[in-house]
Amino acid sequence: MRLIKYVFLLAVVFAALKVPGVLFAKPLPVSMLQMFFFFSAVVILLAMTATDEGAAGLVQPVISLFIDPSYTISRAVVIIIIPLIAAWITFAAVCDEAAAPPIVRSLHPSPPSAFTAYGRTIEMAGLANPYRAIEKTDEAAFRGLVLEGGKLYFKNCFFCHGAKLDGAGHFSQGLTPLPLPFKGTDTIAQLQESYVFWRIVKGGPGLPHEATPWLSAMPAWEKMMTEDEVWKTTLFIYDYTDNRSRSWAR
Amino acid sequence: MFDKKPGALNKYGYTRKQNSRLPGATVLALVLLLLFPVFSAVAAPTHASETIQATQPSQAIAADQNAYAPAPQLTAEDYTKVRGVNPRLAVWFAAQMHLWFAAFVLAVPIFVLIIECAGVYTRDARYDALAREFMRVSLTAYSFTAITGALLLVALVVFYPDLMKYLSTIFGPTMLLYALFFFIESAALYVYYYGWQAMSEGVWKKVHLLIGLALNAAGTALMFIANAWVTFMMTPAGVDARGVFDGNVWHAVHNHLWHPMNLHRFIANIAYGGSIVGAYAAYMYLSSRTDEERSHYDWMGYTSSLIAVGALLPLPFAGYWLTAEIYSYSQQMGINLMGGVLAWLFIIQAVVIGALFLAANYYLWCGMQRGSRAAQYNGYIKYIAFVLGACFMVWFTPHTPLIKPTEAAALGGQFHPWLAPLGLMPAKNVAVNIMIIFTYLSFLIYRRSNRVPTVGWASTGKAVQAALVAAAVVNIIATGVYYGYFTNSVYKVASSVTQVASTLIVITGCSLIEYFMHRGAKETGEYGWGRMPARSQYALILIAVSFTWLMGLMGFVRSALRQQWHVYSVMRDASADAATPTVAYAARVVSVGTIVFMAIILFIFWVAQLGGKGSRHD
Amino acid sequence: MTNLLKVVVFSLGVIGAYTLFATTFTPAIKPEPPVTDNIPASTGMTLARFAALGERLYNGKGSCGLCHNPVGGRAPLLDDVALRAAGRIKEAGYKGSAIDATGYIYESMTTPSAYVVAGYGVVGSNDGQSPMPDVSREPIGLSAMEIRAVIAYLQQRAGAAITVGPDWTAKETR
Repeated sequence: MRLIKYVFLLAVVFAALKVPGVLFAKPLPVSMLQMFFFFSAVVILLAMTATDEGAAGLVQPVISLFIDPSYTISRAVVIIIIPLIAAWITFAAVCDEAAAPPIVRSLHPSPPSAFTAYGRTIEMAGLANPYRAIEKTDEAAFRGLVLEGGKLYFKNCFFCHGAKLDGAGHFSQGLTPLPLPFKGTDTIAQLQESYVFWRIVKGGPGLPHEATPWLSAMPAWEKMMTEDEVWKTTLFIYDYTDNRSRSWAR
Repeated sequence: MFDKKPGALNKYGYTRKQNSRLPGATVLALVLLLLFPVFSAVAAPTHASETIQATQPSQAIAADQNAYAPAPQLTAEDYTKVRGVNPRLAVWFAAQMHLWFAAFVLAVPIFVLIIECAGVYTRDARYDALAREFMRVSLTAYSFTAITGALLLVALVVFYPDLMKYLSTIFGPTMLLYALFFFIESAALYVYYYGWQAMSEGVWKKVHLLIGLALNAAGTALMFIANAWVTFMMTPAGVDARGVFDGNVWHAVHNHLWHPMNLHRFIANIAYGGSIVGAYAAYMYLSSRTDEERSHYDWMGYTSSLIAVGALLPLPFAGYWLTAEIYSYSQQMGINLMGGVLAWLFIIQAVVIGALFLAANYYLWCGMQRGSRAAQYNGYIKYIAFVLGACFMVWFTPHTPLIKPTEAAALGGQFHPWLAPLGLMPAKNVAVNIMIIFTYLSFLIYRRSNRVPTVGWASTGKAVQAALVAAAVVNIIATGVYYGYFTNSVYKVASSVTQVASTLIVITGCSLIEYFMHRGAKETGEYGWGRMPARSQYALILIAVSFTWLMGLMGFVRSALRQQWHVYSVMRDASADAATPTVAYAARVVSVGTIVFMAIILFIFWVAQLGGKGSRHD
Repeated sequence: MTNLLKVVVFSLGVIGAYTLFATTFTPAIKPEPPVTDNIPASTGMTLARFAALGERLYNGKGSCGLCHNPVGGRAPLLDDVALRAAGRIKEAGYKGSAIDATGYIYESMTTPSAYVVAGYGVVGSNDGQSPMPDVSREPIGLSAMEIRAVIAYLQQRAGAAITVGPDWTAKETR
């Protein structure tokens, strides 16, 4: 019955590995899932075969299944089922949709210490949103700027980044890599506003070398938006998603 | 001073590596004869070189015909092309083979001497027999080291003639020294092995041990000299920017990576020797027919695996030193090592080392069954396994895993929000420290499977041990998580120091308590050497295979670090193969190499078995 | 014999598993071929274009950003080096022979230890020695023309006037 226990444990591990995907909509990548499952299976096998009784308990049922006359029916079932499973796995693998091969890229490449835009060199250090200052001092004017930023967002950004700022705009399904969501704490909350400014202004073409291979569809907005407009839009995406930009000082 | 044409072997040939037995003497004589012209050529301009530093190099060269030439600027035409042969692959393969054999023949005497000393110290005749047996079965490996060394030399001279010419002008004297040490090593080897019986009593035994020490010293010196050549290619010293040699060989030898590389390879050799002997014992155990043989080979496998794993544990620290020196020589090289394409190679390394840990633990768990009190401790195995498994998985999780576009669509990003933190260094440090502690726990319960403490404070001692382990684990996790993720990255390094410290405290503290607790402990029943299941022996074989494969892979990293240089920053590789290959390609080359090497090792053991049957009890 | 077979099959399986992992579970990133491009010594180009070439060298062949970035903290940032340089040569710790700002930058690139910014020296040298390599030497190997282009870029980046063109030469007397 140790064999059943082993299969049961494997099922538990498999279920546990599926939990993030099924319950939290954060599925593990297949490559990681395979590795986790494989090594779990190995570790459990090792732990269960450390003693002779344990090993015998695992192996004996398998042996008797194949040589014990009283198991004819089970044997036939197993002999049919195993090839079927193999066939199904092979079929599923072959039938996979025509997806592009996986590509590893650096999501948030380290920024340059300075870049050229709007006809001058802009330093990253000390670069800050000029409108941030009035957030505390003049609430009404600040709301007005955020509203302007919102309008700019819906004129320019929303087609890809989505009406809810979740990266699920109309065009997003056609893009690889996907437009980043601003909601949640994974993206803009981890970045400084200056970084966001740099990414908007320089877009996909301005990505540094380490971020290759990017096929990013993000335009370099310096050609289409003024500096002011970019800062206002930045205000809006932070405000709407209730994120604060990352700061290094405590 | 140089011949332009390749093929003038006497100037720079026969100088690289060779270890040989019977042909050794003839080769040695040839080497000595052929090296003299090189030596005298090299010795002559040493005085002139001082003027080079004092004045402008170009003037000095014009003024002094004997001065050293700068490193040649090669073009693609300077390389020999042989149809159907990839030069880089040929040299890579030959070098890898030679390295494995050299590591093996250096490791065996180290291992054998340790065992022989253990025999003298414990007065247990089994150790002596084991040491002698292993010396016997590995004798053939010396000729294979020579053969692969010759292959490597031929490949280098044929495919990279200018590089060899350049290196031999600088390292000529060390090549002579190499020949000298080789002579000493061969002599010591013969006396050590053939004099075993004659020098087995009294003072003579001590003389025998000293000869063994001389054998090891000569072998290690050989390795150090060869290391100097290799590390010079990575971190050249004693040459100026154009590769003009300053005439002082010591400068070139004593380059940045020489010491770290010496230490790292020395420790790795001990571990490697232990693992190969373990695999040999495992195979012999599996094919044993009598109980006596079984108990002998079981004990041999246990002893050697203990040495292998014991030497494995300090290896990461030597590796840290090596890496730190690479960074201090050239930050560029260091960043290439850890941050670029090669970063994935360290994920592969993590998997292989994880497999080594699992195999070592499994062997200990199976080994517990030899003792009569094993049943009492079997229950702990599953918990240890769980912790090891969990840590192992943290260890190989990359920050940005291989992810399909459709999966990225489902996740909304290129990395998994829960797995990404596990891909960072603090998580790895936590994982590896806990893995070491739990491997040590496996060893503790293994030892207790046959002993009952008789001292009165035994329960207190056990409680203190448990408290030590618990405190260390809490400390490792807490500092790792806090410093790794919640503070400035400046403190990350500081946290790893306290983690390693707590690991070491646990191991030494628990070992001390264990020692005093079980001093004079009563052993429960006859210890069951030879009572090991067959499956446990495969753990030993896995350790040896994994070690070999990993050595090949890490050898590739070391060499790939030079990028498009023969001698980093001094002599550019202009051949078609100057670019670094992919990790997958390297893995395939290493795998084929491992298979060939293992096949030859099998052959060596088989040959030894043929000869050993008659003379087993002489 | 069966034991031998089992051991061989097991070993091949282990090697195969490692190979499988290394070839299919890691990304097939092909390392870049060595950078060998050299900027032609053409004198007829505008200063802005010369600075743009310098930017390319800064990020490419020169690999300056590898250390001079805000993330690693390995080397001082170069955002305003062109503005600071004039002050550096007047400082007490300055050991070089440059007499003007551009000369100082040129010197920093070829003789980095002439002045080490506090805190960035080789550990144990009390900021007396720089960990930076001479960029005119291999493995970086920028030509004199290329170094000038990088200086032009650094001037542009600092917002200073670009004074270094393809024909510029350093005044190295003190």
